[in-house]
Amino acid sequence: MSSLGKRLGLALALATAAATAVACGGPVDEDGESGGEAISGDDSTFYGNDRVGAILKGHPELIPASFDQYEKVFKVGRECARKDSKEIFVVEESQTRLAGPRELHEVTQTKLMPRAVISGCNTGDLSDPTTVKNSYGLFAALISDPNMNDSPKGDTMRMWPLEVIALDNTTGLYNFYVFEPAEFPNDPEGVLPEGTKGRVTRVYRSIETRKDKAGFGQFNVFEKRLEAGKAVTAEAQPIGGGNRCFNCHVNGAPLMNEMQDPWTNWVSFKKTLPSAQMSGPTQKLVSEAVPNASVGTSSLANDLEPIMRSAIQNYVFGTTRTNGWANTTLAGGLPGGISHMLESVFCETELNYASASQSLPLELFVDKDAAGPSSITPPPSFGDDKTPFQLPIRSTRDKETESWLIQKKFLSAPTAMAVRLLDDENDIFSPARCNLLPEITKDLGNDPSKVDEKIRTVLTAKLASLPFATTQPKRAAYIKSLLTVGIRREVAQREYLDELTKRFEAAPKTDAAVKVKEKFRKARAREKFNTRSTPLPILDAK
Amino acid sequence: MNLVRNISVLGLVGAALLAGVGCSSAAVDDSDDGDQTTGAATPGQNDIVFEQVKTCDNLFKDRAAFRDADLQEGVLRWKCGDVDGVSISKCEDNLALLAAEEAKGNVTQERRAALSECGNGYGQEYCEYNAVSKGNVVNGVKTAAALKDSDVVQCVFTSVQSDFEGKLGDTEKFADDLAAKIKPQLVAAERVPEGRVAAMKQGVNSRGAADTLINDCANLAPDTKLAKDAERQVQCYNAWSKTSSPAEKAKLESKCKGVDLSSDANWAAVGISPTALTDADSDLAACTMVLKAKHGGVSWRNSDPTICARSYRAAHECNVNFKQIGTVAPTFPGFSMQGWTNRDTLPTGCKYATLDSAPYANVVICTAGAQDVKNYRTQKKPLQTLCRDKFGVNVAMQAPIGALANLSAAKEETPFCKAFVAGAKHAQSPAPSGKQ
Repeated sequence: MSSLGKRLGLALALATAAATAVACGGPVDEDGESGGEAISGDDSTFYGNDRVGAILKGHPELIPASFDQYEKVFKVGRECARKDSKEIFVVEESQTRLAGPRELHEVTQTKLMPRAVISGCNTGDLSDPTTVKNSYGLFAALISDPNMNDSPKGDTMRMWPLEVIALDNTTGLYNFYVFEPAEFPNDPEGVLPEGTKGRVTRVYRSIETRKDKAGFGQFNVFEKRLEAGKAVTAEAQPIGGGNRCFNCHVNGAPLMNEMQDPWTNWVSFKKTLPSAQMSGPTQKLVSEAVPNASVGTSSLANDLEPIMRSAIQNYVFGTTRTNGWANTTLAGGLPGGISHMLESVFCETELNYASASQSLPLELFVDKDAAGPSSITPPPSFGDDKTPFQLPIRSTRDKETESWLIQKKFLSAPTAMAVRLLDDENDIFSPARCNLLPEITKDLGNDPSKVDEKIRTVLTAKLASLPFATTQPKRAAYIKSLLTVGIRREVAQREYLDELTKRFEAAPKTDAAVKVKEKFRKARAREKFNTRSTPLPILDAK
Repeated sequence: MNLVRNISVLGLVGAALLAGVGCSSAAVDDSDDGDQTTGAATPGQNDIVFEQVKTCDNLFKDRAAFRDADLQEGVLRWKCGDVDGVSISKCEDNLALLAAEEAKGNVTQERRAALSECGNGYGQEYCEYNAVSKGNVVNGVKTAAALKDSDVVQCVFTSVQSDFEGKLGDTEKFADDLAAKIKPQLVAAERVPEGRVAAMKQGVNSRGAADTLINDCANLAPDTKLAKDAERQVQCYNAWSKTSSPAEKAKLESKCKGVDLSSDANWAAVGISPTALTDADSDLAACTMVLKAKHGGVSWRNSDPTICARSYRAAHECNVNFKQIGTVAPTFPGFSMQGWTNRDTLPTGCKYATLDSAPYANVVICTAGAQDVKNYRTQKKPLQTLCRDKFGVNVAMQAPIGALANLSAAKEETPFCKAFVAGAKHAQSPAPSGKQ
């Protein structure tokens, strides 16, 4: 098989590889739409204003071909100078995240296949919360491949292609890069020869300006490539016009599916020793996550969680009045505009997943935000109970988007609460909420006050026909008060919360009842997201 | 002094204070939805051994990774962040009103009274924490509402025990003095913060309470009936945990829950084969003794069951008893604070306060992210909750229980006892210089 053929073969296998934090698929099609055609002799516009560009711009000889080289060039991973953590976070699942024959995200079970997220190594003053940007400014992802030569011995991790996202200091968005060998190696499943030269592909969204191309005038995904001694290739669409990284990162943000206790499958203080038998570089990388008493290092998922939360918050809000995802989307620099942003309020654009830990996820019974000020606490969960396991819940990113809309006065806090109360037992997959979105977004402009007014108008018109108006009168009354400007609502809120608490207390909490809800949500998740968005983890406990 | 860590009951607050609550005449801005109602501030106390095994199992699973290392070092660790079900105390409203009244006159006595009512909210784990901005405590929704977006909010965690007098011979003076020393270390503090920011105020967070709990639990060691019941309850729980059949679970609960299994007849009725207890099982059995402590232990806390489990088991299995903290370390201000994941690293955003040019392990200052503060304020969540959510869950309390152990008659016949005695000896060896 020619090297191009091999690269294409690997590309097909990895094309939809979905690692947490970063997922861009496999190596680039040599003969993509216009790939390989040099258009520029320098790399001055290739990189973004990010940590990748800061190191590599003007230094194509430093472009890494694999993770090992990347660690050395960017001083991350095992080369991270931090004393207490190398910021190598490991998740173990019995799946590879490689492409499947039918599904975008094949979930065929395999032996344990560790994956890793490597953040940017925060060597700053850890008492300064802003230094966390050193961690979330740069993420790399590694996945496992059962076809690696030493896979039978437990060395399953693939060191290339290496998927990296870097936060752009100008745009406030993540730039997506893929590093791989410049020349396709003779043994793609083995260790790369020392000194292998690398090449980098940048993947990005941009308006299609070519009239003869599909999607003219709309956002398409493009890529361009660079390696030492060659010019930057012309902008081209990925194989088959696919979305590559944006298949999974639909909003361009980093992902961590299981972003709360018990961080299912992640190495955490609840799961420290990998049960898989590992060897070689895989074993070395995994051992960096596990607490090591002799050197005092660990990289546990509970430490990645605050990094991810900060990353997502910063990504949505940006650092100036014009950058970041929300500002850019509103200004038309990213797809969807205000309508897409409101999808985060009324529907769901991504998911997170919660499992039984010391308590059941509250989302099984009530919307967390609706119940916020009440005395409702999650029912406890004990023993080895795995019900629910990986329950889809409202994503952190959607919540941050809602917060941005409130703080920028597109939504008032009472209006946002009224939207939650339309279905206060379902934080996601709610027809009662989501079906209103087309009516609300029809002819909706970007004037903040008009957005809130439109939502209040639409919701107010529904008040008389709320299906729960007679069975849950306090809920209906509280919604009405929330939609009425300029009144105090303490009494209505208190009465509503009393009513909600009684409903919560009466709700069945047996495993059987929980499983029904779990099954429903997973079915909806598969329908809505398996071909489109946040990569689904394995949804069923073993 | 009340040494008992019972749940305190929120008493009636002064009529004058109540009159002020909720009667603001401020114009209603639609973005300011007034106060949020709050519910119960702490969970209910459990008194059933079978249920306590469940709670203890969760507690131990949460630190499974550290248990052996902690045992070897003669320490116990638990999270400072309060468990689910604990929320902000209503006393914060009254304290906020008093703060507003402060400029008009001395409100010290009223504040003491209000503070005594705070024991039913956050701060149940031998650590207390407050959201502070410009030197003012801004725990509640109301006080946070007055902040500007540019105001920096810091969460100050203290583990200085409420009965610690220091060299000043007075708890209140010590707290105020410490607060004055901390002030320059806070961002843009315009005033010396209240003493409660620097030293704990609740009776439940006292050295006396810790001593009482340790010794109450150790003193249960000779009671073979209690031990037998606890061990059988653990076996019943194990069977309950393993079965996935709701009918079988219900049957086991009916035979064990609230039933004295020290009775051989009751135990036989359960119908499970007795098995030798594992090390983890013995920890669980010991943990249930928190319900039997003479002066009371609180079932749902992170701290009480943890402390009781170790002191009881060491006494019961290893014939160890415990000295009073004041006897071993008269100048011990309270349990030190560390990182939960990595004991040498505090959560990102946090640092130890500095005292006499050295890090002071009983006060940790964490700076909240500006956007997090905005989000909590927008959602009308108390900033004290932010302190718990963002930092408290990753701050660990560390009690050097091995240092208190009297090993003169200790037995080392079991692996646990060998490890405990070795750990205690380690804890009793001179400490290297470092954090105070």
